[in-house]
Amino acid sequence: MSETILQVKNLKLYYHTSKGAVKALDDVSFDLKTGETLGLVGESGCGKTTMGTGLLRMPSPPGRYEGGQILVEGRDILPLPEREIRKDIRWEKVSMVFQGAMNCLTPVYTIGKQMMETLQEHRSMDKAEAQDLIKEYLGYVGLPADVTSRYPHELSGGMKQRVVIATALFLKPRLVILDEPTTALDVIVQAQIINLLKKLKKTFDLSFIFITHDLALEAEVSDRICVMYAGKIAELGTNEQIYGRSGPAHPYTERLLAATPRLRRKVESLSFIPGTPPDLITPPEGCRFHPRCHKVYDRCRVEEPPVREIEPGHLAACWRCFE
Amino acid sequence: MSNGIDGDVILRVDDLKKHFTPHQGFLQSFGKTRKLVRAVDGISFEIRRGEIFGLIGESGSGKTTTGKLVMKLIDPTSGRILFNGRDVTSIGRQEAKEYRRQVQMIFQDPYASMNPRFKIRDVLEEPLEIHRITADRKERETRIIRSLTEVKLTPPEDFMGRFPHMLSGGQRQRVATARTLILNPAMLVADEPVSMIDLSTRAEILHMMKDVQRDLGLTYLYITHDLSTARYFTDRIAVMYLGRIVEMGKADDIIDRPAHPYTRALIEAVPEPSTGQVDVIKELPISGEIPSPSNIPPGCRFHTRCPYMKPECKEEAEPELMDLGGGHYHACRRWKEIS
Repeated sequence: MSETILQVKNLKLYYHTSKGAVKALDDVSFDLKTGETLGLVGESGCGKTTMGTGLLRMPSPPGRYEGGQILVEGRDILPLPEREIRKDIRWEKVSMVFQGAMNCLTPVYTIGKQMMETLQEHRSMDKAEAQDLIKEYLGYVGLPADVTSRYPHELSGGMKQRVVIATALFLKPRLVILDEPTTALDVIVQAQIINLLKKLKKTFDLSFIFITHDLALEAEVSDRICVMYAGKIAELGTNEQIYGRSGPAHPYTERLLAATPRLRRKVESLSFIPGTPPDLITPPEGCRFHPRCHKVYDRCRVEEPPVREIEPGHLAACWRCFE
Repeated sequence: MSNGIDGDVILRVDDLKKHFTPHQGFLQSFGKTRKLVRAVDGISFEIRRGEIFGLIGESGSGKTTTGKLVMKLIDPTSGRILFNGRDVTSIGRQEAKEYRRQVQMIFQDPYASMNPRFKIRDVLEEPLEIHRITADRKERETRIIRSLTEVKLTPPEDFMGRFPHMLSGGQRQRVATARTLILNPAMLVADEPVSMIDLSTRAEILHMMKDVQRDLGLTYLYITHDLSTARYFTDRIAVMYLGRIVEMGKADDIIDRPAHPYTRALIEAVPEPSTGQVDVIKELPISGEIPSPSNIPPGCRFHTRCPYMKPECKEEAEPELMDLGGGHYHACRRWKEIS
C-alpha cells in the first residue's frame, strides 16, 4: 500500500457560465496520507463541495477541469476514460457521502432494494450473497438487518444517514469523501454519527476527506485541516497548528474560528467577518481575502500570496505570515 | 408558576397542548383506533417584556409547533395564550389580525420566504397594505426607509430597487427583519433565523437582531436547536423534549449548571473547537433517538433514553417542573441523586 493515497496537484476546475468562468477551484494542491482524515472547511461557495465531486471525476455541469492532476494511489485519474473510472475508481476506490444524501433515498423503494441496486451495478453476485453482504454492512453501521424491508420514511434522520454510509462503504473503497454528513442532524445524533465514522475508519482502514463549514466539528474529526477561501487554499495545518494554543496563522482562519460560537465559554459579543465572499468570475486583485481582512496592507492589494510552508507541515497563503 | 409578582409579562402560555390527528387511509379505518401525534403536550411559560426567550429542542421536540401556536397560525387543542394579560386563544379573525401585527415572525429560510418577483420595496410595502396602515405614498416610503435603516441596510435607497436574488443570505434575513419591524410589533417570533446563514455572518445577524431589540424595546421568542447561539443570544431558555419543557431558567444557569439529564446530554454532544479529540470516541450519556410523538413513553417521557432511569420513572406520573430557586426549573425526579 502506498503511503499517500491521494495527491492533488495544481487542480483547476471552472464552471463555465454565460457570464464567464467561475473559478471554483483555482490551483489547489494537497495530499492525503493513508489512514488520515483531512478536513475541508470554509464558507459556502469556497469550493469545498466542488472539490468533493471533483475528486470523484464527476464535476457537476457546467464544471470542467482546466488543469492539474488528481493522483489516486499514484495514478492520475484525469486522463482516464469514463469506463476505466467506473471500473476502478469511482465507488471502488473513492466513494462519497453527498450532502443531504439521506433525503435523496427513493421513497418508493425499500432500503434493501436501493442498496441492492448499487451493489449489482458493480458486482456480479447472486441475490442471496448480495443480501448477506448488505445485512453485514447494516450491522457495521449499527442498524438491524430488518431495515432492508423498510421504506425511507419509516426511518429517522440518523438511521437514513447510516444507510447512506453503509452504501458508500460496501464496495470497499479506500477513501471516503464526507460532505457535511451531519449538518441536517440533531446534535446528539451528530455525535453518534461522528463516533460511528471514527469506528468505521479503524475497522476498514479508511482515509477520509471531511467537508464541513463547522470548525468546531472539524476539530473533533480531522488530523489535518485545509481552510479554503474563494477557490484557493488559505491555510493547511495539523489539528494542533490550527486549534492549538498559538492559534492559526491566516487571518481568515483566525476570524472564522472567532466567529464559531463556543458553548462552554461565556462571551459578551460574537465576532464576525464583515462583507461576503467574492465573486469568483472576477475575484479581487491581490489576495482574494484582502477586502475583508483586518490585517491587510499595501502588498495584499496588488500581489497574490503563494501557498508557502511557514513551519514544517503548516502551509499558509498570506503575506503577513511570511514576515 | 414563575414569579407572579413580576407584572410585566408580555406573553403567557398556560398548559398549552396541540395534538394532531394523522391522516388515515380507508383500510386503516377498520384497524385500531388512530394514534394522536402529541406535538405539544402541556407547556407553560412566561415571557417578560423586553426579554429574549429561547426555546431549545431537537427536531420533533415541538418547538416549531409552539412557535406556530404563539403566532396563532394554528389553534391549540387546549390551554391558553395570554398576550398583555388578555386571553387571545379564541379571538375572532379581525382581532387575530391585529394580534399578528403586534406579534411578528421571522422565518428560517430567507430564500423561500420572499417573493422572488418582488423588489425589496414591494416586500416591505406588502405588510402595510395587508394591515391597511397608510395609503399615503410618502408615509409608506418613510416607513420603508426607516425599517431598512433599523436593520442597517444602508443606504436604504440602494436596496429598495433590488430583487431578493441580488442579496446575500444575511442581507435577506435583514430584509425579513425589516419586514416585521415596519408594522411596529411588540414581539418577534424567530424560528431558526440564522441556521441557513453562513457561520461567518451568523453573528452579524444576531448582533443586528439584538441591537434592534434593544433600540426598539422588543421581546423575542427565539426558537432553535443550537445551544451555542442561544447562550449568547438569549436571557432565558426553555429546553423541550417530546412536547414538554424539561428544564427552564437563565441561559447561563442552564448551560453551566444543567439539572435535567437530557439538557446535560445536549450540552455534552456539542463539539468544541480544541485539540486532542480526533482519536477520542466521545462518551454519550444517552443513546438512541427521540421517540415518535405519536408514541410517547409513559411516566417520565425521557425514561427510555435516560442513563439514570429507575423503575419509578416509568411507573409513576410524569414529573411537573420543580423549582430550584433563582427561576431555575427542571422536571427530573432524581435530580438530587444525580447532581
